[in-house]
Amino acid sequence: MWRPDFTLACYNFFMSPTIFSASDVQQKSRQRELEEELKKITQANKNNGEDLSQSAERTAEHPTGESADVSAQQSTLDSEEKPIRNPYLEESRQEEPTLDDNPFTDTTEVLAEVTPNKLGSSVASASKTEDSQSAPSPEEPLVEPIKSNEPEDYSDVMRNEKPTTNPLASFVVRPPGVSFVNQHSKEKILLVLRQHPIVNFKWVVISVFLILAPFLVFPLLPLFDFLASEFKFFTMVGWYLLVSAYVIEHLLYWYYNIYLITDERIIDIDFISLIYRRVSEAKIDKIEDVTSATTGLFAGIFNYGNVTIQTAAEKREFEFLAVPQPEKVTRLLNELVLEEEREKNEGRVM
Amino acid sequence: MNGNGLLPDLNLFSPAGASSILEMFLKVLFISAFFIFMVFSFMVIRQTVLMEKTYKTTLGPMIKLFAVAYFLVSVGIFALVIIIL
Repeated sequence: MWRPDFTLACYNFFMSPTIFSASDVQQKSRQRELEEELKKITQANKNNGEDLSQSAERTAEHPTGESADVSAQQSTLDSEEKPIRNPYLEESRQEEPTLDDNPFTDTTEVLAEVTPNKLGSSVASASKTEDSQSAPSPEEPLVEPIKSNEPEDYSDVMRNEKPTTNPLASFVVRPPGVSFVNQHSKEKILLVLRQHPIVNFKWVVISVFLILAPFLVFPLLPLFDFLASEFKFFTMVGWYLLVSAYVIEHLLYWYYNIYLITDERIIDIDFISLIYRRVSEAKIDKIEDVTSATTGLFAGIFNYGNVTIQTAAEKREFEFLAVPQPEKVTRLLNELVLEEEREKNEGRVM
Repeated sequence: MNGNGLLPDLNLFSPAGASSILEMFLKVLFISAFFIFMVFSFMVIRQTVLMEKTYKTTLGPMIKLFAVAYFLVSVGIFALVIIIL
């Protein structure tokens, strides 16, 4: 149906200084012509409606003769609803029949199609901008489909951090080629955390000392003088094997003792020693409280700390020890909890 | 007194002067130690395989290869201990 506020909508959009630039003057004049044409069409619609009502009255007064022709004409007009169609409004009416109460969007869409090139694009963009503030755009369905958001959509941390490819990093964002046991098919690993590399400093120093010890300390000790040469040789070999075992165990402990944050849960993989492994997990919606603490000189300098997560799961407390950037980890967990609540409220829980 | 002046001239722990029982004791001690170490290196393989199943990374195969090499070295040294001692 023709809307009387169409002209007003046109005026608002096309006379707006934010839409027009200096080079759009010709387009403005074209727009005015367009508005006049539309006024004429409106007037013609009205006149035609009046003619039809008058002829109907005449038919009622004179039921014979031309009455059949007039009633046939009337029925044709009724079926078509409008004898004269506005070509500019036709497409928009077919595309968006449910937005009748939002003429603002409707008319600007039409004009964006009518007016070519720059004007069209500027009007379309203005339409989109105002639609986002006032009403849904015609392309968007009225009912939002059930879907899960990408982590970048709701998480500032994920948006700002680039994926990490270094397998030895201790703050690994969306690592490629990484998976874990019991991972769901659509579950995404957002963050892999290890202890900050600086915590390895202690055992690295000890290892260096142990490697150099046979040359620095053992000559001062007379105990080896009593051993035969083959025993001395295997004592040295055994010593370095022990040092290598010490290095390997600490290295594996650091590498495999990890904390995973996915879009569904948090997982704590503990690699306490070579004969002990523990995997604990809690769903994101079970998280009750997240606390981060940075204590100590080294922790302050190198920006690492502990993140404590209180949950309602079987394991009541998760502690991410000495992880880098604890405030980012806390923020990500809070964002995930919020998103989880939002999903529940919107019925998007998979 | 021996050269270091710490022990008397008895010098029991010198291979030349020690009794065969003491020498045998040392051999068993060394062989046991290297055997335990071989078991430890085997545990490294087992644990790396287990951790690789738990958490699969791009570095996992390399760590597994290293663990196997480490085990082979320990086996070689154990064999050497048995042969030489």
